[in-house]
Amino acid sequence: MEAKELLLHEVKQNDVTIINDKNNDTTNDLNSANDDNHLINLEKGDPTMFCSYWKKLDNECSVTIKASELISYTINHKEADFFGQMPEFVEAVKRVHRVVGNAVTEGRYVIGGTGSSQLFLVALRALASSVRKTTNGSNSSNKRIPVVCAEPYYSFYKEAMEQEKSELYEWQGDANTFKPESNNPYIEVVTSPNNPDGRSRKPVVKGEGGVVMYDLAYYWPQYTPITSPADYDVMLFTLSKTTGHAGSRMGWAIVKDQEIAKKMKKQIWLTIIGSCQEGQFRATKILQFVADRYEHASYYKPPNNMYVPKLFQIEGVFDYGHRILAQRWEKLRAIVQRIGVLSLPDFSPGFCNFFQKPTSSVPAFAWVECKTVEDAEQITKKLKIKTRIGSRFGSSVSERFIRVSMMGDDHDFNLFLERLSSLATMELS
Amino acid sequence: MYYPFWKKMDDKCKVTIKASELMSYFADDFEDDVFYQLPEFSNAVRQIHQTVGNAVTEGRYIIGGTGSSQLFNVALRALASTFDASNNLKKKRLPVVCAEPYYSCYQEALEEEQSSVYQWKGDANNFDEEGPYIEVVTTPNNPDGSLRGPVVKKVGGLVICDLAYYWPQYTPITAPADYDVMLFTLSKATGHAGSRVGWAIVKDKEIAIRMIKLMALITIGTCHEGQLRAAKILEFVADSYKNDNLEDDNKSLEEGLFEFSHSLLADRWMKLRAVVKRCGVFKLPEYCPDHCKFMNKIVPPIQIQTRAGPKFGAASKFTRVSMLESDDVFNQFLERLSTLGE
Repeated sequence: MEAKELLLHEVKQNDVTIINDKNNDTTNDLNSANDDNHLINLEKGDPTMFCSYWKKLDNECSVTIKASELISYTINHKEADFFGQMPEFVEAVKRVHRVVGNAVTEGRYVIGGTGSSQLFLVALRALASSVRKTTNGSNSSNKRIPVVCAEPYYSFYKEAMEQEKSELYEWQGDANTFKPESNNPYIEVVTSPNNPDGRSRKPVVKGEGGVVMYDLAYYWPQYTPITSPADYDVMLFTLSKTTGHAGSRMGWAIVKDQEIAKKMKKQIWLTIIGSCQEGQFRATKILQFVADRYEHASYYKPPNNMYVPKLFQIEGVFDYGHRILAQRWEKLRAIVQRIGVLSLPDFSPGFCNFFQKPTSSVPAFAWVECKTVEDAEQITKKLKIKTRIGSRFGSSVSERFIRVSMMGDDHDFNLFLERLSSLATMELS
Repeated sequence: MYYPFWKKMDDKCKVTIKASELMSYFADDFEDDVFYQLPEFSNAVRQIHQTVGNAVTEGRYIIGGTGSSQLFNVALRALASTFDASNNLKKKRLPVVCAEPYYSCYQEALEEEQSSVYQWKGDANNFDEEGPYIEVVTTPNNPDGSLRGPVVKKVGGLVICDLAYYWPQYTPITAPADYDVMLFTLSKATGHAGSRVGWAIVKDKEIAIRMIKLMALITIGTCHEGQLRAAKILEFVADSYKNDNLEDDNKSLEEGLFEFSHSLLADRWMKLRAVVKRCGVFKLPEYCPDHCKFMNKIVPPIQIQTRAGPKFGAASKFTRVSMLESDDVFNQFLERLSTLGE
């Protein structure tokens, strides 16, 4: 158990009172009696594993906002139709994608929103209304556009769409079994790497009238090899999975078509005007920091004997993320192999153009397969862990599967591994 | 308009966020289901309403949103879902109405959304359908600043009350607002529009829980940085009215936010009325002064923001003009207006 790190220059913060952030505090639950009863939440993808990385840069990468700053909407002369968005944020996004090489942004529109969850629905509505407009023929313009995604799909999509109850589109489930009628329009959502199973994906529907939307939340070097810059019409990303800053609620869409971009901007404007400027401001700083770390690293290499800023003394965030996840996956696989009642997906390594070497896929979630449904229930009960059950990821997905977050803090994850390794000695029916 | 006030407070009311702070989705362990909301934010909202006396918060749920625009949508859906049982029989879309002239964005947002659950039905004054409905009441009203209450006299409706301008700088605070669903926004309370912070004060537990679940599903709450900043700003304002500045030797006799903005707006209205009277082409609404419990004196209400009349469901002879712009912009507007009479 590592001791809480003491910053070299601890600044007394008079201006801000943050409640005890339990995800930052590594001294929680040191008492082993507490550990025994502690319900480990591995259900949600809260990326707290990144906290200890950013703690090292607490002061270097802090933001200070004075009372009169960010007070009004932005005047962005380049984008008069989207005044809620800071141009600095767009620049930072484009820069990071250029440095990492995971998405084409040249000549594209960047649209920020309150998390990629919001942008998902905004993009859907924009795509559905354009597709409907351009469709001729017998398909009545009042019919809702089907939206599909290959199982196992991210549970949020279905739940969000069913909640939306839109007149424009309709969730129709598994893309694998979807057969579009002739040239009728449809929208396929492709998540790559996939949530929950971490696999790289391509569209599966064979149809002429469809459009594809890509959710690339995990297409970053810490999770998967970056083989080439993603180049699709609509691509979604989120800061929460890029750097671990989930609370900022900063997502962005990279959109090729001007009309779709216009529709999305209009919707954002009508629902929220623009995303929180404090969030944009912070995201900008964080993304620029990340880009700096990777773009300027060579400047600080020996034989330069100059002062090296803290940022360049430590590994970059993607190196950190990949290292931690790789360690966790290795430990998990070792235990799973030993106990023999569970299985995990296999991934072949690929060459990562960003790290410039072959790397393994170490996804944010482990898609754990148990032998039986009863086993899955028993395991989560005995291990006192909270996970997301397979059936939430598709109607034909078995409840033998459970999705386990690999992104939580060290203490909880190690406790999970401890309890898991004791599984062989436990009795399962 | 608020910028000069806040510039003076730049360092007194600043926020610093370290790299590892506010990272988690979870902001609070304790509040039921509102895992994404900072308790400092909920507390600051209660504090400001208590200080100003413009809304009842005791025993109510405080639900933050990305501006009151998002909360309007979320409240609509939450209310609509309480009607589901009876509505499903007819598969009719729930009518949403508002008395003319109404805030243009309500209609635009609903028409853009194309929900299968509810539908914009325009002027509440002419609403005559049977069955459940939702009436939106904006008071003080946008665009004309009038004080309002629900107009639909039917059973089976629910009201969403948009109180964005129910603050002392715009209108006398006669009593704490006490409706089932009340919407407020930081942009009109303190001028911090860029933060995109709004909040709903909700009485009914069922409705509150539905709203919270919707917020959790669609946007996983709101930007924590915005919440933190809003908390800091609201606390600052509330605190500035708590201490009696006259007694404190260290503090200069500084105008509070509400006095500052009220006198600025009052001054602008005076100038506007003078120019309008002189050029004779336009007319402005008249308002009756009333006793403001917060300012503890009689104050004339002030008015707010131009967009053309038809957008507000009014005749095209009306236009809405914003009174909240910077001094430069407003003075320029007056200059140009005064040339019209010539």
